[in-house]
Amino acid sequence: MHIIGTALGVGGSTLAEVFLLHSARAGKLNEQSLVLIRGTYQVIRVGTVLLVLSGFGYFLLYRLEGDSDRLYNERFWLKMVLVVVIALNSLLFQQHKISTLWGSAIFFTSWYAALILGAWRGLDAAWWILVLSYMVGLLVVAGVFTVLRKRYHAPL
Amino acid sequence: MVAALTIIFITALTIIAELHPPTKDWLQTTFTHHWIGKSVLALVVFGLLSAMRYFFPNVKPHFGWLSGVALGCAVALFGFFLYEYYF
Amino acid sequence: MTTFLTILLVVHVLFGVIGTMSAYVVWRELLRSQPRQRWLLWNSLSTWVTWLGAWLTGGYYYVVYYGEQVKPVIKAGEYAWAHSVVTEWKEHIFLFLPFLAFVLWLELRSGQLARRQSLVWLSGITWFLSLGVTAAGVLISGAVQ
Repeated sequence: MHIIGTALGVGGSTLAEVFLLHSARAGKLNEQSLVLIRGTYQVIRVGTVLLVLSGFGYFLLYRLEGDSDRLYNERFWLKMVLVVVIALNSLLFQQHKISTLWGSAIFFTSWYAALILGAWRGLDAAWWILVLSYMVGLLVVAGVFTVLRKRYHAPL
Repeated sequence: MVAALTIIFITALTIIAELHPPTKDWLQTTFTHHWIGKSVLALVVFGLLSAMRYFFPNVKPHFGWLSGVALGCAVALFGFFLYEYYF
Repeated sequence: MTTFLTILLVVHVLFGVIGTMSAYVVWRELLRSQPRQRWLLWNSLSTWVTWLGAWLTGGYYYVVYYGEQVKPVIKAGEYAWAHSVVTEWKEHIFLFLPFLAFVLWLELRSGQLARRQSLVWLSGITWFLSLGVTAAGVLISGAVQ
């Protein structure tokens, strides 16, 4: 269930960006594009719910199987922080308090960061290295999105 | 208003029970556990204050400062337990 | 831990997480220009009902098992602060949440949203406090080593 939630979230955030850029390239955000984008956001929401519930399932598993030390692992905590970042970013996006560029970049980077943190089992880095990597990743993604949006005349 | 006063009551009772062992002992003996005592008393206070509101129907609820009270009490309790542990 | 206590712990965590997610939905919905009344009502109801469930299940687990079996393990380990600060904070802050959620639901039932700005603040702070309580739960469980 956790993997399905991640797949829905990562896939959904990737597709949302593709649809937005496609609409910009076409020069308009028509009804059909809006339906696709809204549908994608709904998929992301479902993915998030599955992810959070199954994530706490893992937490209970660690606790009950005597693997409690995993609950103090930096990767585990950063993933939880990323879920909160995604939730807050979603709110800011809804309220138009953050630009489309930065909102999309944060979504994209956060989802992929959560995927990498979950999949890379052997990753053993200090908290500050993980956070720094996330910030660098965010800047790179924002840079790429800026170039793509300028190319397709999409709003920043 | 009712919820805010209940939260202030919970916070005050918690701090008093930590600083005044007889209060904690009273909660323990009366309710079998101090935390059960706080839960029950919180419900009683909330219930009583809610009932009293029927006699003052023109008093409007103040949600603005309920948020502030909840946050303030949460921070106060964290600071209290931190202080108690380290000092 | 007996099977019954294991089930109680699982149910406590599930109720808490579902309540936290519902609280987020309430906050988010109240921030919309046109909140959907039914969605608001369902989620605010879900918040205080699940937190009531978490209160009862967690309370039973805490009183019957945690004090005797878990607390000594934490206090003897390298994360003694997890009980002395975090558990103490969590068990008392948690008492706030069902009241906050219940009051929010009562107000939303009126359907008027006249005091929307205050409700936005209330629902936001309720969610942040529930996040803190959730994180505290993870810290406490992680200290049982």
